[in-house]
Amino acid sequence: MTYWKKFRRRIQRIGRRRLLFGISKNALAVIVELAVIFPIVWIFSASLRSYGSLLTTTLQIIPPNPTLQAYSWALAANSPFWSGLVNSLIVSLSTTGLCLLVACPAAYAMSRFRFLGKRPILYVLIFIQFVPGLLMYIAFFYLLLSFGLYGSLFGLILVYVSLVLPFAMWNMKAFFDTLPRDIDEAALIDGASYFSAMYHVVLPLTVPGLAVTAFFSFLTAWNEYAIANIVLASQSNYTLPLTLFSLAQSGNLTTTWPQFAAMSVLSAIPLVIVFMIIQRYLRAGLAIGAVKG
Amino acid sequence: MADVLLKHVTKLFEGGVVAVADLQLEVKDKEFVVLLGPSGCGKTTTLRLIAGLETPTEGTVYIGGMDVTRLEPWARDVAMVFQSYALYPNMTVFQNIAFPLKMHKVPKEEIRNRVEKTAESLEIKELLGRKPKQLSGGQRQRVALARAIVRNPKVFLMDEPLSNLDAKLRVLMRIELKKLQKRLGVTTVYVTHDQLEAMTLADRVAVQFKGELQQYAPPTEVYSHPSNKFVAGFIGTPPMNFVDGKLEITKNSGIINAEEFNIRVDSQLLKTLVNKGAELPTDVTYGIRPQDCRISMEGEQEGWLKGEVYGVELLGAENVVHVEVGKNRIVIVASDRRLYQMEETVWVNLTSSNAHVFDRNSGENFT
Repeated sequence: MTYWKKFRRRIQRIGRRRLLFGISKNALAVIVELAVIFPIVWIFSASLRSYGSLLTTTLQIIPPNPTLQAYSWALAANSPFWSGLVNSLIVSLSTTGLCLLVACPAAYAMSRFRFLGKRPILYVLIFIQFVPGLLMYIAFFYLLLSFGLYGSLFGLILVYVSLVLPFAMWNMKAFFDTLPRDIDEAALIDGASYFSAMYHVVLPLTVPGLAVTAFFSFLTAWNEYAIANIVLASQSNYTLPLTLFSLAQSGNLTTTWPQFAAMSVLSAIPLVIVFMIIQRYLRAGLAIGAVKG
Repeated sequence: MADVLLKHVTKLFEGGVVAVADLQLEVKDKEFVVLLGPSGCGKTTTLRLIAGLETPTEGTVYIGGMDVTRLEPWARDVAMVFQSYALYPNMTVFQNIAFPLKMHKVPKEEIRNRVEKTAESLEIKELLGRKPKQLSGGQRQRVALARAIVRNPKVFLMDEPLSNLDAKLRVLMRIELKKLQKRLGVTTVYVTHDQLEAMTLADRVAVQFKGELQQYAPPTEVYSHPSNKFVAGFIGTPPMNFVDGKLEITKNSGIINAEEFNIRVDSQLLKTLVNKGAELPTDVTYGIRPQDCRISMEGEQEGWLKGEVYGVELLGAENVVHVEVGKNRIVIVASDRRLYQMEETVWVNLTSSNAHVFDRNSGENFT
């Protein structure tokens, strides 16, 4: 049978309406993907241009004479990229670690125990996420100033943890709720304390939840600009978003864009690495969280 | 090894639900006690109170003479086998069995020896490297048992551990469990809703209903001398037949007047009733086990009641015949292996010295 005949028979089997639906669904997906991916492609393209070459009226995805000049600059020893990277890593990893350290026992308690005020606390955790960050900036500023933490990375970490914690607690609670209590109780009877039961038995079963929580905490802290801009005063403490912004602001606009683009691409690499490490847990974690959360 | 004592223990849940009401229960050292009852009767709550997974609203729990009422589960030295086995999915069989020893800070070498020895005794040594999801139901159950016995606890607590097994395996495991308990000599409290399990395993059976203890006695006594109508109806397969009527006693005889027919009270039973001395109620429920009823094809005889076959269950060794006598349906275990037909006219005799007479209002057994 020729290919064309096979194709026509397949179409007949699928049915015209289903076929049209399938095509339009895929076409829509392609359009959305293109819209999402275009800025990334453009940034990458800009990072491969020579200085000044962005002054053009034609749309050139593939730059003429691509060069790694901007990357050489970004990765040079005296480049601001490195201090930004170190600060961002410190802040993001610390936020993630501290968030998990606080959220896990808290979520375990909310999942497993009955105590006075449990319901109001759960409601507060939901509603506090509706408060726009902008409203909290002034409060953060004065709080950090009062505690002498203004300008410090530690102060910034504490602010990020407070922002991410409600989501983290809800997410982990949803995961703990999916686990049968028999397992905890068996551990308690076997001689484990509540903390040991959580640590040895329950937590290893919630790796997807931990992955989702860790990733979103890391992502939030990594990409956050506005609060960092308020809290951090000294350039030596700047995280990558602030470093990028100050690069964009400084000097001649025509010379810094490829450098800006190169640093943006490099800034995304740690996120991609983190994502690649935990992506198989994310799929399970997001699905369960969506159902129960 | 230790005895278990529950003194006036009450447990209330939110909304005023009475799970356990003023329970007085003593389990002697090395004894195998079964808590038996229908769903919601409070047997699992009782077990959890002993384990420390629930705290009593009132009353005291003692294990080995020590008040453990406010003690956390890990401090009570009890081991529990759950209905779902509750094996740790992320650990191997070895790690599962070793977990209690690890929590009690037993040295690694000793852990290894004890785990291997226990696994060997339960014939699961070849499974030590597997994870729970790679095991069959019977294997998981043995791993759960191994985890319980490796610690040499004071008390074994078992919450319907056989209910997830198929019928054949359940019978095998019942025997194995009984032998294991006798060999180890550990005080055991076992929860089940299966009265056959209770009768075969228990040294004593505690029958519970709606949070209250109905009767606490050896299986034979619970079967032969149930304390009330609930126990009588719950214990025994097929369940006991009940006929409501009025007890009429004359000088030398007694009958149960069930309006449509009369049942003659056996002379020995009558003597027991009269010797009771207590004031006998008029409104009674007459109870007789299907095994104690007689069925015949012969025509009208004194003391025999006419009925019609409603249904027949052919069990091979015996048949269970459901007969309608007036408005009552009587279940009879017929050992004659005759194939009774539906709507066939038969004659039944409900007089037996093993019958019981219950107060229709309180359910109390007067025999």
